[in-house]
Amino acid sequence: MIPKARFRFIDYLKSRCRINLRYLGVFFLIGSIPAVLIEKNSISSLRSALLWYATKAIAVLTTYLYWSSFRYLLVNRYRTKIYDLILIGGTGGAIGGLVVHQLASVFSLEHQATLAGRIASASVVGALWLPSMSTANNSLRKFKEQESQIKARLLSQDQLKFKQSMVFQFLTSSFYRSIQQKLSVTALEAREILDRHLSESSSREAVPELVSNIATKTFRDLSHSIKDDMSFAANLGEIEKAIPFWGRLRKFVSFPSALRFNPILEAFPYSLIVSLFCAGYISRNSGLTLTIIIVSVIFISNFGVLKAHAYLSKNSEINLRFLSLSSVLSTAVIPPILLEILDRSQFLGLSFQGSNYYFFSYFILALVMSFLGYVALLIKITFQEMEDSLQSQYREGVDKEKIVNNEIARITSVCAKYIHGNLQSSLVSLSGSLKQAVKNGESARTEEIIDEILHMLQNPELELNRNVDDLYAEVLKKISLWEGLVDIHPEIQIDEHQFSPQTITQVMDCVEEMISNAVRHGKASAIKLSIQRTADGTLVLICIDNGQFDPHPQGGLGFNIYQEASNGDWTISRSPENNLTVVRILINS
Amino acid sequence: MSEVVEEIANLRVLIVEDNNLTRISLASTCQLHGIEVVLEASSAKEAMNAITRNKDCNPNVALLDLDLGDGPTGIDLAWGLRRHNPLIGLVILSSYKDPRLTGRKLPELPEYAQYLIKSEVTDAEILIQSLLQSQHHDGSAEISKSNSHELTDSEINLLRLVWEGHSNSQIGKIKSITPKSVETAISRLSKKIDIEYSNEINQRILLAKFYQELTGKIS
Repeated sequence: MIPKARFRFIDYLKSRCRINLRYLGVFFLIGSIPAVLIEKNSISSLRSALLWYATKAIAVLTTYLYWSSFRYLLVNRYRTKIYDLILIGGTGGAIGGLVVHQLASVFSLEHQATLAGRIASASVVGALWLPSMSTANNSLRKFKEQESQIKARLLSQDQLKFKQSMVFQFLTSSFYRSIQQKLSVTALEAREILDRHLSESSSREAVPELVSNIATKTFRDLSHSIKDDMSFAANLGEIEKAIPFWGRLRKFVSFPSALRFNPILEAFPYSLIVSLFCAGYISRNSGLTLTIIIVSVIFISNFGVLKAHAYLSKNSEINLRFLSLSSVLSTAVIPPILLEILDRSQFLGLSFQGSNYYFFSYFILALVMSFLGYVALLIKITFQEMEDSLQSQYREGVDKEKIVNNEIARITSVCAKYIHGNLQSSLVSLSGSLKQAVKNGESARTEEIIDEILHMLQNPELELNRNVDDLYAEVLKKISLWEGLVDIHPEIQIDEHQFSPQTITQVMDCVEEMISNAVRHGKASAIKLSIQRTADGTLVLICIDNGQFDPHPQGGLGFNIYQEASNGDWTISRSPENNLTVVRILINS
Repeated sequence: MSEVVEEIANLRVLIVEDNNLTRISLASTCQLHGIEVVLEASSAKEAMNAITRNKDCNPNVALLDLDLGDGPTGIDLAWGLRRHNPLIGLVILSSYKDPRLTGRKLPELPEYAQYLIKSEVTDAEILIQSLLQSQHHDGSAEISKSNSHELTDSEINLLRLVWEGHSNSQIGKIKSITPKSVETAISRLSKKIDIEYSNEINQRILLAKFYQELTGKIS
């Protein structure tokens, strides 16, 4: 919901006065030079010169205040509706113009009075047009905020490089190897201690307890240490995501378009032209046809500018179409028509007898506006490209993070299962048997168990070394687990293609889920499992079972696994002819 | 008394447990009380192969661990054994007070199967009693009297996700709901299990602790 505008002029002055004065001076000086050149013949006395400057100053001040106040309203503190702006601008312009006009009339300065009226009305025009630039600035501000948030999240360059190398190491399995090394070192240390105890007859009695300690304490500490490594690695996923994003941001920050967005720089040429237009003598009628042509040119050129600005300001909460239209109307249509009407009606005694300045000033205005429109359009394209690029980098980062996290989860699971399930439980079991053998005085059995323990400590990574890179073998292994409970007929045609660990994990998860669903919920007794790799690299998994079929299955973990692995390309159906349930999953390998 | 002794002597037990130490302990306990252990296996595959291929291996009661690692669970095996021998007695042994806490969508327990929680088997008598009851097909599967029974599947799932350390937004992604809904569900769940919100306690840690208690990871 847009809060109602509460514009307090004193607040505005407090917030803007420092910058205002500086730019106001520049506006006034540069804007007055061409005007002075044009009007030098008319300034006959000191009094008229001072008055001219006074009216000029009021006009410039009015223009600038309108622009700043709208900008203030739009960007800094308040948000308002466009008709509020028009109301403020229109009223302000009209009052300002009339005050100046009356002042000039009091001093019987007809020429200055005319000039003041036009300057005032033109200032309204400028004020109405400029908010669109403010909205462009608004977009930039938002982007900069976002940029600083991301920057804040990132670490220093050195740290980033280090983490990047860690990500690389991790992805090239060095990390995995380091876990194996840790395991080997731990086992070696344990073996040395055990050897020492075995070599001294006095400490042999303590061997069973020592083995038990190795299992429950030494390997538990190892598990914790690996777990810490895993947590660290898990954070690397975030860094991996941030690295490309950071690079693009740096490029964007140094991009000159950030400067071109500056509303001061954009507003200045426009204000200059408005000043030129207003200061020029439009004291003679240019004719209706010429006016219509000029109006058309300006309408078209301005429309381009404003449309580009509307694109640029897409984040704005203002109704940009309305803003564009009203700006175009107020800039290009209303002033000339107004001038024509005033001229023909001789309102307030004003006279607009033909002047080439009218034509030239509008012509220059049109050229400049077209040029600005072109620049704005360029900026728009670059900005859009940059945004698209950043978004695609972000998506890539997210995908990479997913791969990294899956890999971490897989390694964590493999290590945990191996250390807890194999090493620790075997050692505990062997220490129990050892105690029993020592107690019963079975020396041969004792030596046998000790040999077994030593062998285990010598090759602690025996099972862990087995890489999960053979999909065929993995599927058969998975199927064999269900042997006896269900009759599974596999048909696997995948050539000798080398699949990524991620693909293998996905296929294994799907196979596990298809079999367990068929057995657990369908009570199937036979399953035909087919895995085929098509020419385009797609893996087609088909599971046909003779179990019961639930026509309204409840979505659960299993369906999520299918959905994630296949990106939604999976089906479950029932063949009515032979009462078979068919699950079909397509995985991109 | 002699009848009971005779019944115990008639028991032929199959033990399936993937943890070596536990399996050895269970077998020793049974043998110590005069129960014949016809087979010790560490996986469903091993058990089913032995039973189907060796006719001499003919257990009349099976003591099965619920979590057998990858592949089929103790409940899957129980259904397989029942298909093979409809009269076989079944005892499922688990550290989970409720099978739903495993996080897997498991089928119902077969009829007359007994469900024993490891931490509650403080005496060999409890184990033997369950084996006898299951062999007699006495009573139905009684899973748990713990308060996990009052929780819905969705609440148990939420509890597990909190225990696994997921943030609200991660849970939201997994369950396809908004983080705000997750927060609401967590506070509703906390209220249900009497964990009141306070600045002095960490609600999530208490929820994780509660889950650990239910799963038998701590007592």
